Amino acid sequence: MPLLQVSNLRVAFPTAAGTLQAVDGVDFSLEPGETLGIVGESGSGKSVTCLALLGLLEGAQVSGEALFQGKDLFGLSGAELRATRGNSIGMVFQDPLASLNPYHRVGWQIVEAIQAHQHVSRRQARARAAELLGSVGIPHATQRLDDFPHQFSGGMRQRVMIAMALANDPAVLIGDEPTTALDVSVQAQILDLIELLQERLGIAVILVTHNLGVVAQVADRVMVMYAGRAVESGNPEEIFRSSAHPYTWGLLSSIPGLTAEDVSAETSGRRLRSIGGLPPNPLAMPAGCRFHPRCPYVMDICRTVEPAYEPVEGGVGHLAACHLPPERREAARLEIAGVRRG
Amino acid sequence: MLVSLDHVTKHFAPRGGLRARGRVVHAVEDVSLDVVRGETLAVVGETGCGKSTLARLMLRLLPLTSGTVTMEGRNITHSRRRTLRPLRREIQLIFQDSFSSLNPRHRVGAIVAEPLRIHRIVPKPERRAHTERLMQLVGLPAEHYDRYPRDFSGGQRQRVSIARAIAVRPKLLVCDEPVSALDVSIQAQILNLLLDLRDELGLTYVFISHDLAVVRQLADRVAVMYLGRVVELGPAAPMFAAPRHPYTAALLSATPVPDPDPARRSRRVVLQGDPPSPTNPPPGCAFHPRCPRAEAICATDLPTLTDDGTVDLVACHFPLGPGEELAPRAVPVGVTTPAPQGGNE
Repeated sequence: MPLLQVSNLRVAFPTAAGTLQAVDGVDFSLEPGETLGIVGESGSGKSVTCLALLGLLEGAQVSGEALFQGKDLFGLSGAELRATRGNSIGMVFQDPLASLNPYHRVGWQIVEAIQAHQHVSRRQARARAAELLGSVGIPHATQRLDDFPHQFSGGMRQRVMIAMALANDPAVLIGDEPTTALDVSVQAQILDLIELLQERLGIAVILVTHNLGVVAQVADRVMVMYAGRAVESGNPEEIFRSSAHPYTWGLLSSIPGLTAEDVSAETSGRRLRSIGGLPPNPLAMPAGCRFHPRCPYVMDICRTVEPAYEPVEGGVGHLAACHLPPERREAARLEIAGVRRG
Repeated sequence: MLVSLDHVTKHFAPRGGLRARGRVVHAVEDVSLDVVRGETLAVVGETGCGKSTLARLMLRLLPLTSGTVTMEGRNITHSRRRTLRPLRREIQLIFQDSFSSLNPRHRVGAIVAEPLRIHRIVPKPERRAHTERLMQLVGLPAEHYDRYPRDFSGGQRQRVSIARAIAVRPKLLVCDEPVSALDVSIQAQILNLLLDLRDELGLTYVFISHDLAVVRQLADRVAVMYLGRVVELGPAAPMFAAPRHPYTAALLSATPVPDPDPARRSRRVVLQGDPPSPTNPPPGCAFHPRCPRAEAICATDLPTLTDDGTVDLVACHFPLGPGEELAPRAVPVGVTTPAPQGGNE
């Protein structure tokens, strides 16, 4: 049984210009110990999806169902939600400086997180806080409890956030762009840390990111979002090597290659195959498939009928929402990918 | 040679005058570089390595602490504002954040036309038509002339910045992280635009970026910076195929690639620790505390960027040989396991 089962998640924000449907019918599940990567561009609804699960969207209309350990997260009372959030669901955000209180020592902040959910003495909570800081690779953990957030580097602050998220032994860790603000060498350290902790503690991870490279590296399953909907999901092999959705093809071909394996000498300095146009205005979503105005393979049906999010032939839990007949997909995919990989 | 930097150094004094408590920031240390006409030179490195400061020194937007800047054979190290003005026409700058570099109270047409007016390039009656042509050249509909920056998306605003920069027909375009704030599909559109303009207008680029994949796509030559110094300098293709400096190799291996091949991950070398502070650079080679190949000499002697007959110059006592891969240090930094606790249900 999945640890978390989300069905028909819809999130809307009332605005002066009308109702903004940020997430429009998203389904996914998360198995215990699994890493789910949610990728998409700005405005795709990936962060809103996570914030909705955490009950952190003030003033939004959230509907659907999110079964977590047998309970619907959207049906919880305020007190029940507070007992779940930060306890069995930990969270890490992009900017640790904005998430940590600059006026309090980090030890105090971790102790607060522990005592919010556990009846332990200050002394016990402080010992646990030191142990947590050590477990996320912060040297001299006991002394550093008395430092303020500004005394840590960006990477170390994100480690503090991870320590805090793990304080109450969560079953799920949700990371919203946790490495986006970090330099690549530090990003690699944090990704390694998340993986290591996951192996040791057996927690499941939802990693929201715009970086397909990060997802390829750590995810067991990937969900691609566009304009408030999931357009494709599958294992990394399926998404990165035999994707079934033109948006995913476009995303992959937009990324410049790095090494000789990805790019030959002749293709550097050449144009990238980018996706034309801009993402749709969320207040005026296109009819049918929301990607159709930018899709190079658009057909008449795409303009009027919304494609079903259904299994892809030959896949293992590979789902895609596209009208393109399966027999045309592979040729089309290679056509887009071929521009770069020749 | 369009622009030459010769032993350029920039230190920032701590703020606060006599009561200053901080230490001097060694932003750029002894950098010598040439920008050759028609090439795209990328300057890469992580936060605080001095790459943006270097760009500003090249444009003389900041005074140098020492060293010289030469532009088309003229020493402009100490030139005054008025002498610099005609030269500023030759060099234009594009920033990462198009929100703060475009005046929110001006219409985009006026923003693009402003340099035409200041440098008296196009007489007034023809200015609007000329501006509209510039907008079309960067892929903006001419009808958007009267719109404000807030009406545009990030990618479109970056197009406005580019139109304004090329309005004066510069020889050199310095781009400081021009696509870092953009989504990947939009980033590709802007990179394509920069490639097209390079061919159409014969531009020279200095491209500042932390993203090696972006640099790979665009650059002819690459300068890798670490803590204010250039540690490797050479043509892009051979450097990406076989980096010689351990830092370049580590950066390349840490950059996530959209390919789930587990073999790639096992080859990854993750640097330990954070980049050191530019207020207190380590002695010897600044990279030695994080370097998997460091020996005793690295902590005492500063390696210099020496011309050893190869095209790819490297400042390292123990550079990687051809085909050699960077191996991680044997002892990993300890990460302890938190003990699972009881009674937490």
